[in-house]
Amino acid sequence: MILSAHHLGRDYPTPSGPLTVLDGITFSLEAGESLAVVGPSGSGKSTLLGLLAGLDQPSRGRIEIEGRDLSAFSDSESAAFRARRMGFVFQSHRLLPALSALENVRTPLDLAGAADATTRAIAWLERVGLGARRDHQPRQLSGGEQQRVAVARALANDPALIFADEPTGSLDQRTGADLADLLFSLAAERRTTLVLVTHDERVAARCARQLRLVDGRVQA
Amino acid sequence: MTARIRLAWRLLVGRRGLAVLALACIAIGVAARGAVTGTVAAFEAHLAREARSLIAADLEVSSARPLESAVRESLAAVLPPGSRTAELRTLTAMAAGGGQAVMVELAAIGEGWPLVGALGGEPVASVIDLGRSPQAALVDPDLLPRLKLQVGDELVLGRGHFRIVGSIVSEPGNGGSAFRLGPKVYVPLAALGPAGLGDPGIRARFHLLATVPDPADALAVATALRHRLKLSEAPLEIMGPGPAGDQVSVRTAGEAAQTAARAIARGADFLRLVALFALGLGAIGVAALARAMMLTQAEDLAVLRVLGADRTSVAGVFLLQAVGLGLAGGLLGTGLGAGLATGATLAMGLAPAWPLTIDLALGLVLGIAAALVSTLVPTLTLARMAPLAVLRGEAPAAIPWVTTALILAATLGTTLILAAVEVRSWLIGPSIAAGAFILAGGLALAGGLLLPVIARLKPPSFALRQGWANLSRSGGTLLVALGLAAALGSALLTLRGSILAELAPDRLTQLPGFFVLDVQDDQQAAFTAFLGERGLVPNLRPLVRARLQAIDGVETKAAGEAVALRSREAERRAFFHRREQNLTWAVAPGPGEHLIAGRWPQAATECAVETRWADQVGVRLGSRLRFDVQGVEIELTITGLRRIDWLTFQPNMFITCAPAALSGAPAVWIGTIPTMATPLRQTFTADLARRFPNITAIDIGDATVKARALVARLSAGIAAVAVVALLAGLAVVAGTAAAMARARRQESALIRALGGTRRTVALALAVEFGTATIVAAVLGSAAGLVGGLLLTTSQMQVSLTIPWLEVTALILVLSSTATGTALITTRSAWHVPPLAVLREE
Ligand SMILES: Nc1ncnc2c1ncn2[C@@H]1O[C@H](COP(=O)(O)OP(=O)(O)O)[C@@H](O)[C@H]1O
Ligand SMILES: [Mg+2]
Repeated sequence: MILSAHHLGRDYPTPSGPLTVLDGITFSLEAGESLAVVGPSGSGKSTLLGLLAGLDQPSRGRIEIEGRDLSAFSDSESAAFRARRMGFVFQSHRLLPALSALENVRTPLDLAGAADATTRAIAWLERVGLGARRDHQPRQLSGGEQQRVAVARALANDPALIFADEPTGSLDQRTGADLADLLFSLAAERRTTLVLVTHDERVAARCARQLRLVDGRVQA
Repeated sequence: MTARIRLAWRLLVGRRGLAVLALACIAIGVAARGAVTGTVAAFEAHLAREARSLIAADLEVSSARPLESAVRESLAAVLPPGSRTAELRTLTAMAAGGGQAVMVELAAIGEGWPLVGALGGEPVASVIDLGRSPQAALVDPDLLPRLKLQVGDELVLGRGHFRIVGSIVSEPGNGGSAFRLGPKVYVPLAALGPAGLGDPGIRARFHLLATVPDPADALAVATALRHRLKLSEAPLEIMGPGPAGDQVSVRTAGEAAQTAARAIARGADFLRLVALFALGLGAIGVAALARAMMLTQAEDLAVLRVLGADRTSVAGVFLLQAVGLGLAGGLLGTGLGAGLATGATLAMGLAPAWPLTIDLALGLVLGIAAALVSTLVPTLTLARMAPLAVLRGEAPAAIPWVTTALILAATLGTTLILAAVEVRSWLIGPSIAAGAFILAGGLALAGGLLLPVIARLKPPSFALRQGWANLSRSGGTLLVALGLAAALGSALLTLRGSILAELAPDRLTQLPGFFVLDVQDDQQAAFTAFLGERGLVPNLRPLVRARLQAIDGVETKAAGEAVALRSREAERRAFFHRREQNLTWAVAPGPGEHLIAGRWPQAATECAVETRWADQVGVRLGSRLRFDVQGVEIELTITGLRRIDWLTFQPNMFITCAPAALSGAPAVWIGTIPTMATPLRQTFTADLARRFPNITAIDIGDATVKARALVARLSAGIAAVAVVALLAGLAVVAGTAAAMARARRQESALIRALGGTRRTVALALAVEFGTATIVAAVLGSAAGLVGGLLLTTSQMQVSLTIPWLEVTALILVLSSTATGTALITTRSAWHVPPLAVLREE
């Protein structure tokens, strides 16, 4: 078991008392499995992803990753864990605008202290079909290309887990489908666990399992 | 680590505009400091190189009394074989010719002088004539037109008739002094006696000069001589180029150069303080820019956090950018400063010198420190940010106010220490720096109160309404930075204006015409009668030399004992404690003199002292001062405190007693003579010089003209550095404007999408910046005027004259250049097509 959540909850303090955004989330994932998190806007999907990635602390409950309790990690431990074992894809590409495509892909390798960062980054760019565009700045790429660079960046250090928050949300249908193909095939090939937030039913249907959130709770 | 540095560099390059401005903010202050340091280093190197020609020898023994044979024998005993000696006597005298007379500085040179360097004359042979003929005089070229004389004519000095053999072209060590009371004249030493200028009543300084075969031995020889003569260490010289007092003084060329270097360093301290001020302004600019960079980079850095960077490395990337900026700004500033210093030294005809590496390093360290301190708050904000919230579009949460307050306090403390180090004073530097901080706080407060009030005005014009409504968003930083620059500018203008007004020609009518020195006790009656014949009544005052021996029974330290003077305060105390004091007596306060506490001395054991002298020396009403009046000890109790308006030019002394206290003590008289009509004036000095050759008359009109020129020259130097502060202020404006340009782009695009023209948008920005800068310039100038008032009245004892025209010009120039700078920096906000901007996000 690579990832499991037990009675997970998150409250946000607001002027009118605490607001419960997530409550009673329990599930577990085996290595190589894929999970689609679906639900209406504001139902807590992104919040859940942030908790699973150790970017935020749960108000209740427990998360275990590769058998270790995430709450026991210090800031630098969870950062190092993200750098080595996790990859991220956002809805809007979130590439660093000052860096070239290649440098963007290298970043997690650099942060993890990888030795052959440049070669590996070039290889990944070629895998996503952008080998020729490696010195281009993000603004010189189309939306779909930007998102492919983001996928290459997420996979660059062979993570055990990939979190993708609406990765096709800002792409047109055709480009979105291509990107989903890319993501699923790369994940399957390397037996990477994939947690994917999406509004697209067709994308969700390609995942082995689905988790439907409504108002912060799992709907069976 | 290298990955992190590369990342920091790439992020920085991505925000080139902000980075370049931040660089400029740091570089300006560092450059100003470097320019001052480099120029001073060149002066010091010059002095060290030319040390021997400064006194035209390796070693000098001098005194206000003729040097006794014991002194000569001691010198002869300590000089190694192969040494050479020469004599020199310096004095002021009246030079007459062509029916007029002017006071001159007379140097009577003995055989062999100068031992080092050369005296150059025009024609070249004139210097040889000076050595050959006992009646020859080599004169300052300025003297000739003033007396309507030419080379070859006759010049009367004292009772002696001299022939002008030529004019001076060059002197060893450039004559040593920048400010002279009169033109220089060289005559042979042997000619003084026959001219009546060697009489005991004539005040002169007697010099015995020596060179040793190896100049490196000079100090050892001087030490041996001091030991023989039972003198304490090297003489302390605070004011003027030469030692004062009638004590025998021994100094080496190196010590003389050090004294001169110290005087230059004192002036440079203040210039360095202004540079520190510019650096402080720059730091405000960097703080504004760092905030903008923090806001624009927050999302990038949040992405890095998600990708696996921890808090420290995210903050580290930001901090690395600050260090890089500080380093680059420091290097750029150091290079720029060295360039400026080289230009300045070449313009002054000196060889450029590289300042000490430690000084260069200090400039770099200051640049980095300023960059680090001003980016500390944004760095901590980034370290604490929640990456998810930032990626949702929220601004990073502010850090706790306690942390901000601690950073501010630490900055304040460091700045105070830096100011103390730069001015070498635990009082002056820190109090000026603290004043600047209080002013900054006051400006921020005034801005906080005033700008919202303006923002609440709702004028009908859209541009005005929009511009004013935005004021409280942009105004704060601008107000502080520009206000500080304006305050410095107007304080300097006020100071300069007040001093120049004090020396203005139309004030001369209220001043006496001449200041006279050296009227001997037995000449006083004849001198008064001489003036009476011409309808003139002098104001004469006796002057009795004495040594201060004890205060309230505690022995004072001899001035010469404290040589290693580390601070300005120590120098001042030593100066006021020096033993040589001039006493006077009077039955009542004279013109320009006021009793402000206690009563006028009546008994022989009482005295009244000048109040500032009392403060400096640390005495009060009731304190007892013991003096040695030329061999007779007297003890005086302070019964009164006096205030003296020195600028009335009326003669006065720090210490005055009842006539009985000094009866029988040998006195010389000094005083003033009223102004006189031009015909009388033309013959007066010549008559005076003929009748009383030993009496020196200084033309006060002449002296004020020279003082005005000196003030003008000094203020040019200060103005140059003040311009640097203004530049730093402008850099801050550019930085602040650039910092908000991104936000304004969106807003302006929206206004234009809603139907506003480019002009409306530009106008609204102009209103916003114009109002902020005018408020800043007016408030700052007002504060500067108050500072100027404090300086002029309490420190300089000059009455305040506000140069309204110049201050108004300062306000206009500052606010218009600042508004222009801001408009140029935000050009992208009002110039770019709105669609391009709206598509960006
Ligand atoms: N920092 C926060 N403070 C208060 N409420 C928040 C905060 N972050 C998220 N929320 C709320 O939590 C709910 C879930 O948000 P999110 O996880 O982003 O939803 P989804 O990704 O499913 O659209 C929303 O109602 C949002 O307004
Ligand atoms: Mg979401």
